Amino acid sequence: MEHIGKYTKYGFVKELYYTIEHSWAKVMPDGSARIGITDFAQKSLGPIIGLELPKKNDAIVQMASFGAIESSKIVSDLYAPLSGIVKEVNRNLFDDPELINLDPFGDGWIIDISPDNLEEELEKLMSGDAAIKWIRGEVENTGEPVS
Amino acid sequence: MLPSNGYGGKWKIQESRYHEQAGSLEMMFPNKGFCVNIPLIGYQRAWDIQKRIVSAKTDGYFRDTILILEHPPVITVGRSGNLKNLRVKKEELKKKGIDLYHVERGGDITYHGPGQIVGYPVVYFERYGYRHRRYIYELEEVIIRVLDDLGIRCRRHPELRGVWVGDQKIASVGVAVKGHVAFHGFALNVDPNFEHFAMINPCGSSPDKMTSVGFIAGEEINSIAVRKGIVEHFKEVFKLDLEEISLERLEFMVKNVDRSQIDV
Repeated sequence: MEHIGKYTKYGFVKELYYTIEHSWAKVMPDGSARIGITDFAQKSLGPIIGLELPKKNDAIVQMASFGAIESSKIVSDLYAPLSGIVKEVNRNLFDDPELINLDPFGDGWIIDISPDNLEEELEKLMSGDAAIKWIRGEVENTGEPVS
Repeated sequence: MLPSNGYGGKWKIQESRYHEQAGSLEMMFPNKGFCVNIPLIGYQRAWDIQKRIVSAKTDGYFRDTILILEHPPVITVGRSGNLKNLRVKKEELKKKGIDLYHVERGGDITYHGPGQIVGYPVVYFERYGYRHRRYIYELEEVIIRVLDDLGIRCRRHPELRGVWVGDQKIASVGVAVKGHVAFHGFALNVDPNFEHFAMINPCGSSPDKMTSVGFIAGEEINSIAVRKGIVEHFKEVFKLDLEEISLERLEFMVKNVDRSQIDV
């Protein structure tokens, strides 16, 4: 995991696929896709106190809202990086939504889906160096120095 | 040629689409907004206007707009709220003519009524370099400066948010974000009806924890001056140039989004 930012270190995993809404997708060995939000997003929201998520077998659509995430006094939509059918919802989040704050790229994963159109949709997302460039821009936009 | 004002990638997409539509140079430097001062407006109507502004801002472009108003007595429940914080039966609310709304903002249950000044900034909150938590912080900043002017020492509360005087709450904050637009906002107690507050556990706390400007100052407060203070400090904190317009003009512009941007 890399860290971007001179003062606040924003964790970043360049092998994942990102949307500009700060959601990420990870292609799992069995072909499913795991979805979560970035370290930048969780730091921006603050301690997470609740989530509104789809159920198993619900369909989600790339770049459309698939739920909501709430921190103290503010609620924001969650945007799907890929389209597909929900296979699994991270049940640990119901007891401990702050897992998203503690480990946004790992234990704080949000849902697993069976993607409908993986190859085509991955092309619309950012990854690798393009993603690094984007997150550096996001950090710059906050007014903080990147390095 | 887009201005280099640190908006970042995603704004370029909106701005260039906008530029095609309006072709107006003025619109490429959108640090201008609208301010609408409304004496009294029903909750539903104010909520509808906000949602329409949000759509206009999401589908194309609409200036950042702040509504400053008061509501007739109403109780609203945010996303994390639940009715166990309602201390009276729903029938009693009905008898008093007080409506109850479940809304998409963050935060728990709260009360709005005459004597409480409510602000609904509907803004591309990220354009100010703000992320969610910082946006809340800056809304609180606006209120803190207003109270400073009134000689009231106040502070933020690290976990609970809002603005506090000692261990009592004088202003609440509850925001929703749809795409890149924040709406709902804040509420400052100037001289509200505390008997109404007693019907709920506001934001999950005991109703005794609520206080007001009038209560602390011990005298009648000029609420028009407070509203003015809110607008001025909002302009300062968000570095936004606000044009005051009427509610009717705002409603007209939101209905006719494309045309109005060219005229304005």
